[in-house]
Amino acid sequence: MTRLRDSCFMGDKVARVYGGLDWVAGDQVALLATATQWTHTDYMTIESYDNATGDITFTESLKYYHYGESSSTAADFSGVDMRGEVVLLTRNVRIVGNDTDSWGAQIVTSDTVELNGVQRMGQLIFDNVECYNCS
Amino acid sequence: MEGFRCVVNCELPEVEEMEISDAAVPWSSPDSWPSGAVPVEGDEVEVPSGSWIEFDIEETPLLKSLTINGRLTFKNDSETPVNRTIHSYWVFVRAGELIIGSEENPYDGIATIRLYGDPNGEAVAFSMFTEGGNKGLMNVGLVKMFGKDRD
Repeated sequence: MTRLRDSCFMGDKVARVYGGLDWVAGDQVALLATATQWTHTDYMTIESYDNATGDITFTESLKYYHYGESSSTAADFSGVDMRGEVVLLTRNVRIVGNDTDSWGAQIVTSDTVELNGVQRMGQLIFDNVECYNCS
Repeated sequence: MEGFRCVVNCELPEVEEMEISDAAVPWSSPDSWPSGAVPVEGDEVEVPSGSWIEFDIEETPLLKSLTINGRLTFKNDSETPVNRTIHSYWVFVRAGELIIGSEENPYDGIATIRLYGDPNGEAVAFSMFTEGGNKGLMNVGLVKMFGKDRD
């Protein structure tokens, strides 16, 4: 997760975040909503990322406004950094629901008791795993 | 009120649990499978208890199901990363383990489990009481997956 270092507006194709990330062309990111409408999240595809300046160019234009500042607003807002969050959605280990009639897949971890009385306790560890069309 | 008719797993045969082998055998070898054949399209595949199968091919045909009672790991090559995909209607980790990458060495290629199924497909149940849907990764065993940390 990184933060916007400058505000960006509807129609923009470039957003400024921090440099030094290993984000590459084709990655999917989300710019979370910063205004009053929680639905105003933009899902974007990276066309290019400048590792030095932190500028991301998207393949399409943003649909919504996102607030950013050059440095954290924590000092002004009781320790809260209000700048828009930009999160990477693309991962190299993926659980994908194939798109069939928009029917999503699900991941279920559970305990169970089998008919013969054997108890099983499900355990699941996901680290940097992407779940797509899936809950 | 809604009722479920339990079609798949309500009266599962018992698993005769054995200790998992110390050495992995490749998915691609017919000798790794009790049936003596590498799984083909539409198969109900089981990784049997006691066996450790290493997924070493790029993709499976579309399986009807994959049940894991032993251990299934993904073969990783950090020099030349390989993308590997399991295609199945559902994956059920029962008395076994499904492991991709490790905490120290996350998987290097792209590992995908692609699940199929439509709204009318038959549902899987862990027991008479626990329903698991018809398109999913269902787990009552152990699942560990480690992708690359990219932030």
